[in-house]
Amino acid sequence: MYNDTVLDHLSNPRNAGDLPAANGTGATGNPKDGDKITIYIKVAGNVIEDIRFKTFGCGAAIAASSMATEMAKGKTLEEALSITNEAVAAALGGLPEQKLLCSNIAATALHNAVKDYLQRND
Amino acid sequence: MILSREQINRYMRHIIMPDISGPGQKKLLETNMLVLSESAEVSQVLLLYLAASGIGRIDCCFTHNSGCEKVFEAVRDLNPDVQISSLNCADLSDAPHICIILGNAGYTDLMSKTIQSQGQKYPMPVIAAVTGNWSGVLQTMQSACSPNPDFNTFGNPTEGTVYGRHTAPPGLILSRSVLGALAAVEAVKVRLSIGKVLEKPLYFDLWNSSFTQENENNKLEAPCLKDFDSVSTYNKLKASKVLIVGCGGLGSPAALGLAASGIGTIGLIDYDTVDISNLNRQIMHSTSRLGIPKTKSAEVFLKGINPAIKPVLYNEALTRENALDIIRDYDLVIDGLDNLPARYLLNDACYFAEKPFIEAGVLAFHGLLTVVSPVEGHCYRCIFPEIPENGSVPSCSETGVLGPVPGVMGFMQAAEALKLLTENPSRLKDSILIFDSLAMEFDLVESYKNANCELCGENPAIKELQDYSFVCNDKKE
Repeated sequence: MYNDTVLDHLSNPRNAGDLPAANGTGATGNPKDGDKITIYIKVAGNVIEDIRFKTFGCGAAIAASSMATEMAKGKTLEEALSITNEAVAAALGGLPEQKLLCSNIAATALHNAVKDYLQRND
Repeated sequence: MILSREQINRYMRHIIMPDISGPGQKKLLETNMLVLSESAEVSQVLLLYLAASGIGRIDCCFTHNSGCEKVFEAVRDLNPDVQISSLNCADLSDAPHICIILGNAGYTDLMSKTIQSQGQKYPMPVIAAVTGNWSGVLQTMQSACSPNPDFNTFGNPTEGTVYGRHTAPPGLILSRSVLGALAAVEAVKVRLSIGKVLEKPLYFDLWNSSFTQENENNKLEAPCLKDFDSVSTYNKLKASKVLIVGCGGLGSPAALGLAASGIGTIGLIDYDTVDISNLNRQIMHSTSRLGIPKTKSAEVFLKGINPAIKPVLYNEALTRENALDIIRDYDLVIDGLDNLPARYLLNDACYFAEKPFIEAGVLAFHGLLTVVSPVEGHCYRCIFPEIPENGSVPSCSETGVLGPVPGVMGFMQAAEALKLLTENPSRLKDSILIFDSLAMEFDLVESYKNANCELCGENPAIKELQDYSFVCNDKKE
């Protein structure tokens, strides 16, 4: 079902865990879809210095979270907001079609984290 | 990749759990386990669950070596990643990461004292599992200096000649099996620092469904079994017919427990074929049987346990059309399903066919168990009146499950079945057993027959089998 890039990210996810110094948190997914993704960011000078995720869900959701956080690390907030779910799936070399709607939602959580940071710093 | 493609698929149900993930599974594969036991037969279930979990190396020291090659073959077939061998304790060169001792009271007491006395040489944690008839004790000693209970205060059950040949009574088989699965869970937890270490001994009594981690007497009261270990029981079990719905994580241990206990007829129903991601927990199946129907694979395995057994195979799904006809041929049903809508079908069909069923479910590190005998107590709908919305309750394929956890629940299903088939009481007819493997806690929650239940209540709305599917969100207003 999954290609090697997806298997790599789901079995050895990058950036999984807690981020106590986080100043932005965003989540998405809900129990109805079976996947829930939370992304924590530490922003300094408009750049995402550090980033972590916590995901409950199938392998596709874990892989998407891992890839999305890798893509966002070290980027500016504007760059992070322009990362799309489609781009995450493409970077993974594609995800099975039945997983796209429910599991490929990490970019949404990332955007919510950025928005949370911006709101806190209004 | 941190693991091979095949390994990632094999251990997928572990890898998607954040507590384990790929690095944790890799650590399990790099684990060197020492198992001390009376024989391969006594520790068979332990060895299978350790292998299913991906423990890379298992060194065994047995008092009696006979029969170990047959068990080792089954272990290697289940998981070729595992190196397993039998050796003399004196020949141990590499210090193991963990030691498990599994045997009767006298054996476990002797072995744990021996290991303790060599604390310098073997500083690893020791998991001690003491077998009894329908009962047992499990405890983890983290260092050489931990005090251990005097396991000798626990009586040794006699091996019976009751069944016409020298064989262990069912209660002892169940004890060894439940302990095997529990010790495998504890070993994974200790190795990966997940959950709480079982520092205080866990005492369990499957006959009375009692579980405790506090015990003032510091010994186990062996349950009063009336005349369970008798020729009359042997004959009753031989004449009994049990249907197991689902040949997977729960069905495997349940079928093994019942086959080893002498149930004469076992029906197995499953529409699926063996997949590699099954093998972290479905000990009835194996690498050499990938791709074949699960019912066929189960038949091969069960005949290896008990050549006299003739399982009845249904290579199909349980449906509204076939459920009543199939269930009516059996005395009792075991639920080994992996989805919720089918549970409601099974519940309703068993009610209309007037057959009791033993319900269990698992997810991640947790399990639940109850007996549905609707004439007397609750049915599944009394506890869970409606099929939940799709996705609101996750499944193991989305959330993962630690392999030996369904092992614990499945053998307990077999235990409840044996009690019912021999007309012995079961506390689980009006309570639900909840198992939290992270804390190694078992809790009993009382439950009641619901007078307003749509199926078994005073004014039932459900009078025949229905269409069972998840409630579709789109249809809700």
